[in-house]
Amino acid sequence: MFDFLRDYGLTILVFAPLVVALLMLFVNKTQQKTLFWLAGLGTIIPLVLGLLLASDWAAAPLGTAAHTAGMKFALDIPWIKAIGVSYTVGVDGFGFTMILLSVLLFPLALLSSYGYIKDRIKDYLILFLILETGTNGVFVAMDFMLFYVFWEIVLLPMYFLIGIWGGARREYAAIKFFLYTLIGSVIMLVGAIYLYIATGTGDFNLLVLAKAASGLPINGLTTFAFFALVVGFAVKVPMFPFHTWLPDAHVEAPTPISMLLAGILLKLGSYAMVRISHPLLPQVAAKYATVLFVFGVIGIVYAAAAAMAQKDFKKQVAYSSVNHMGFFVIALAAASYLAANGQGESAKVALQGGYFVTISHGLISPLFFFAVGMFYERTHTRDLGKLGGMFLTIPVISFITAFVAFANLGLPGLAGFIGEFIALTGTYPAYGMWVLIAGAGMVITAAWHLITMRNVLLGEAKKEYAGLSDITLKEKIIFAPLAVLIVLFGVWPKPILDMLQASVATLSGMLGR
Amino acid sequence: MTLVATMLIVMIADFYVSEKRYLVWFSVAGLALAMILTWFTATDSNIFNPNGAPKEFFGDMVVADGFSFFMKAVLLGIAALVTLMSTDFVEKYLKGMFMEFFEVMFAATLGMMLMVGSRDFLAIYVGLELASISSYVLAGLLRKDAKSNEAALKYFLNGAFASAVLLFGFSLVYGASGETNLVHIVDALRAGATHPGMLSLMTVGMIFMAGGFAFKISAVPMHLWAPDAYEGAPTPIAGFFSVGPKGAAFGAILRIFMIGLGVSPLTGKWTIIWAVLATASMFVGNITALMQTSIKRMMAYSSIAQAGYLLVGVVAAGSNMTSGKGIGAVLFYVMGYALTNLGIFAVLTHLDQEGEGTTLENMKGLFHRNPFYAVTLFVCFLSLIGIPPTVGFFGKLFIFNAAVEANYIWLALVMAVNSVISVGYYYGVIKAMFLEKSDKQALSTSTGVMITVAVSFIGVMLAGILSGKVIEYTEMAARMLR
Repeated sequence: MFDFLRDYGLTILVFAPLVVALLMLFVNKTQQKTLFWLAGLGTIIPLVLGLLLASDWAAAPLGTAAHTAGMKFALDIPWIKAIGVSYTVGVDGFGFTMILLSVLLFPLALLSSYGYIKDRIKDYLILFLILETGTNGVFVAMDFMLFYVFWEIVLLPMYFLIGIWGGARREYAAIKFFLYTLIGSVIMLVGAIYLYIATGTGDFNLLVLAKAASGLPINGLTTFAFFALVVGFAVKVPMFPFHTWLPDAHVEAPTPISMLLAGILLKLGSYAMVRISHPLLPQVAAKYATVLFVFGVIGIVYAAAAAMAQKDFKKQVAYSSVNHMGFFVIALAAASYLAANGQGESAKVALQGGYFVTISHGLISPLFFFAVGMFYERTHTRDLGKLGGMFLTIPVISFITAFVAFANLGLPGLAGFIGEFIALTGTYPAYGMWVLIAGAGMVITAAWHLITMRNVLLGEAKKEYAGLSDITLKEKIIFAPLAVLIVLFGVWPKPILDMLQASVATLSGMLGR
Repeated sequence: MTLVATMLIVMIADFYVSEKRYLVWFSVAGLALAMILTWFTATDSNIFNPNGAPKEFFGDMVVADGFSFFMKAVLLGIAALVTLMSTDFVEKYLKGMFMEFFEVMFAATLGMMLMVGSRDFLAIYVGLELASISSYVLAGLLRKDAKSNEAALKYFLNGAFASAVLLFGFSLVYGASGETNLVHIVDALRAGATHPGMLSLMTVGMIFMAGGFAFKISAVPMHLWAPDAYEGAPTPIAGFFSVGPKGAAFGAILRIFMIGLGVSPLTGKWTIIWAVLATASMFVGNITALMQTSIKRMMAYSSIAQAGYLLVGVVAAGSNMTSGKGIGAVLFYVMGYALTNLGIFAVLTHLDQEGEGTTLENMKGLFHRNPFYAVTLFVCFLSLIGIPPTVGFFGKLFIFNAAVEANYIWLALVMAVNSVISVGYYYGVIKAMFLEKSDKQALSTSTGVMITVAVSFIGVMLAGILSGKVIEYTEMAARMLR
């Protein structure tokens, strides 16, 4: 069976939700139970496949052909021969960890939609499944055009999911998200096509392009191409100063969509950087590493301070996403600097830490958004001034909130700490004491988490919130797997680090070339 | 050519059919027959063999090569889809003119097919005039409607002027080369290329020709007729205008400029002319479209911008004569654009025929009233913007790629910028359709419109996903252009 899955597993994993979505078109929209069961099936199939592939991960052979070198579970079929585009899928450690995160988060987010989304359920579920296909597609695509197609497919359902089921200012938030990402991706397309022409490979395969483009001289055009790619991805990450769409989108999006947005959609940007912009143009990446580092550090400090100033609980959590993704940015910048200066070992540490941040953030932030959502569903407010004394009213939910807040601020023993610690350790050899500024960001982050917890959880029980119901079974089911993984990877990060090992070494080798 | 006979048979048979609704299906069958016959005329020259000699007709005036076969198939497909989508519309608004409507449209199609299949100025001009005069009639078919009359008159006056300009260009080139056949013109050019007088005469003729054709494809600065003509013309006819005459004009442009004027000092000049017109069309079309509230006017400006994108492909073809990528991309784009735009106009036709009008106001809540129409419009708009996985994205990608390869990077960038600008106006419609509520009741459907919408929806998605095969075919057709 594994032979079959090694070839077609990823393809089925990506397209199963889309196929189920198409089936759902033929179900009457009043049959909500059936629709939810079908959507559940559409998200469970990828989860099962993901776990099966994970069990086969160590044994699966690496690809050897030029299109799939070093990739597992690869499949390569010509698609548009005229311009050298092929349907090539495959994963390495970077892609596969993201796939696992994605197939885990989608069923959980779907479960949290059950009973929460009441309007136009059929449309919602269909868009939800299309979103999963797009997201997983990005993580497996090994051809730039295929990547771009999936990248844009993510954009469309997201626009409607925010624009239809969002909060009061949903239309504004949706179009802001759409325009930011679209402009970013058009610029990115221009950059990639330039590289395709300049290398003269006649092939859009990312590995082939990387091999050829890393030999290009550093001049105006390659610099342009690099920043075109980086800006396109930085919008999604989001990296300061391209982050302003995120607080709006998060605040207006419904809870399940916020979970996905923070948990997995931001990772499209970070994944794309380690897969495309940096391997393609390592020479430019090394030259401008400091620029990236500066923006990363500003992002960390600025987002921490901005989060502290918010009065809206959800917006606070949204800014903390910008803050955490900043750690990935500085680690990547440090890695490209170090690798180019012959310190390959330190570069590996930085990369591993930076990427671990994105994974731990992918586990923690959905849970945090879910906790905020649990409060909102009960109290119908996210205003920090109005919440208070929740430990006395709804103790279990409050405990979850405290747990996830500690995970988010980087408490040792939980997953958030490991990544940030390794990332800072890896960044230090490159930028020395400047790293302390990022450390200051961590302190501010810890401070606002404690203040928020004091305001929301502690204090006298408020009269208007008396008699609120505590956690339901559905919420427990969503909480449990994420919490277990947060603790597990906090004390035993080895499985993830092992999975990343080979890919990190390859990337640091590419950066050092 | 057998085509002519087919069209005539269809038209004459029309007179004898009493039940008018059957006439539509009969017409579609006739178009299918014409398509099959085109296939046979072309298979003689072995259309799948790029090196085979094309078959010639009427003393080398009309040629059947892979290029003309592809364009003719697209044009016949356009005619068939317009026929289908206008059935109920015609029955409601043009009750007494059932035959006239379809016959005149077929006459226009015939003219357009002659345009793309000819390699002689005379034949091209005859085809162009047949198409144009039929178009003027079509624009004015709603005789009691002042706007329709205005549209016809405006289209006619401007069009006649443009035809004169074009003809003057033809005559100058004829004067310089002494030939009307494109193949002979280029021979004469090669022979006398060193003669400065001949070259300047050719250049002036070329500029006039570009001006005349710019009118036909509604490129800036010859675009001002388009919004009024689209708005006033019956809605299905506006859809027909946006893809039919434009596609045919592109076919003629490619053949005249690539074959007749495809010699080195001239190619440099006409690529510059078209590059400037392309830039102007894209910016003017997209920016003006942002301010429209009538969807038909908006689509008119959108089609001006689309002409600009197509011209980028022409420029790429001209500056990289041997590769065939530019022409292949233009052919692909024409096909994709036809599929896309006819879907949009089919929905607009249906709204019009329900007496609702086609302003932004009428689009509100369309998703709740008829989800299939709304989703098709959405997919078609994505295609016009150029978002994957629709056919429009791949069309733009091929043109973009050809332009960058031909060292027109700035033009490719202009294209990318304009794609983003165009989001602005399509977004307004998408927002109205999906995010806003309407208290009107569900919208019924009619068979003809439904078929067109379905063909458009499936075509836009499928031609995008299978674009690999299609572009291979169009590039081969491009290499066969003689």
